[in-house]
Amino acid sequence: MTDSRSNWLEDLFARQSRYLFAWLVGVTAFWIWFLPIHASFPQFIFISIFFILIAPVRIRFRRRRPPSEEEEQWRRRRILFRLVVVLTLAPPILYFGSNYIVFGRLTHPGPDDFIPQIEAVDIPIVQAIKEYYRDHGQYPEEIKDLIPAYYHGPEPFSCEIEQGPAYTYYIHYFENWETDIIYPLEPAHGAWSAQGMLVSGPISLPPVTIAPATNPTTRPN
Amino acid sequence: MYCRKCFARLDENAELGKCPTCGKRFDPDRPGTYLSRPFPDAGKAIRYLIITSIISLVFAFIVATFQMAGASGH
Repeated sequence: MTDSRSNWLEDLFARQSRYLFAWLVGVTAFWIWFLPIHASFPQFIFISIFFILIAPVRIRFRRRRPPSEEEEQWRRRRILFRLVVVLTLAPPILYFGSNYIVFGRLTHPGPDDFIPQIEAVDIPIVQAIKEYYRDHGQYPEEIKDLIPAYYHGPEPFSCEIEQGPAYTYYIHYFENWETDIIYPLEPAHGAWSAQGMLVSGPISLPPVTIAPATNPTTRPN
Repeated sequence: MYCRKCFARLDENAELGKCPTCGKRFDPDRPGTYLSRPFPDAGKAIRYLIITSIISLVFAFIVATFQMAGASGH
């Protein structure tokens, strides 16, 4: 008994399997490149379990009779169909969905997303630190030493000058996924960077510069 | 004729009205109860799309929970 109804899906997977396979390889390669960037080990395990759980390959351990060549062809087409569906739908939903839940946006934020905050809050403080250094020949011990002569705004919470091997301006943004913004105050190392669990890397902002002193400096020779 | 559930060939069992592999019933006189080719029909394909999307969203939520827990230090 034959059914004359045409099914475009059947025709697509029966005749265009080579193009669909190429599509599959392309989509897989794209998402393999994208997904592991921000995936930690447990996330990677979950992603792996996810693909194993909904893997479209149906394994049959027992067969009543060996499949005919035609049955085997149709089985391969069904596998290809399921692979195309899973690998086309699942990675984008996984990537965009998890980013939307965590960050409220579809893409993962990068260090440069801190630029507006740095320009508004941190660059004026670093300029004030540098002006203090220019006038006193040493860095202030605390940010509040800059107020009010060098810095007029309120002191941001969790902001300090670290006196390690090199003096570094440091601020911790709690509300932005527990990220540290760091700026080495020595001119040779002056580059903004972000360090956090979710966002890390250099920030594309130029080094902070200040105008030359107009009054005689008290810096010792 | 093929089974809508397991895609097994039904031609030899038309008089039984039941798939020999999975037991799903079919009526040879009603084309909607079997497949003409062993491939998912539109309804099954749509169901597959919806299930894949729902499972993906669940895993997206799990991944997001891990990310938020890691970021907050808990």
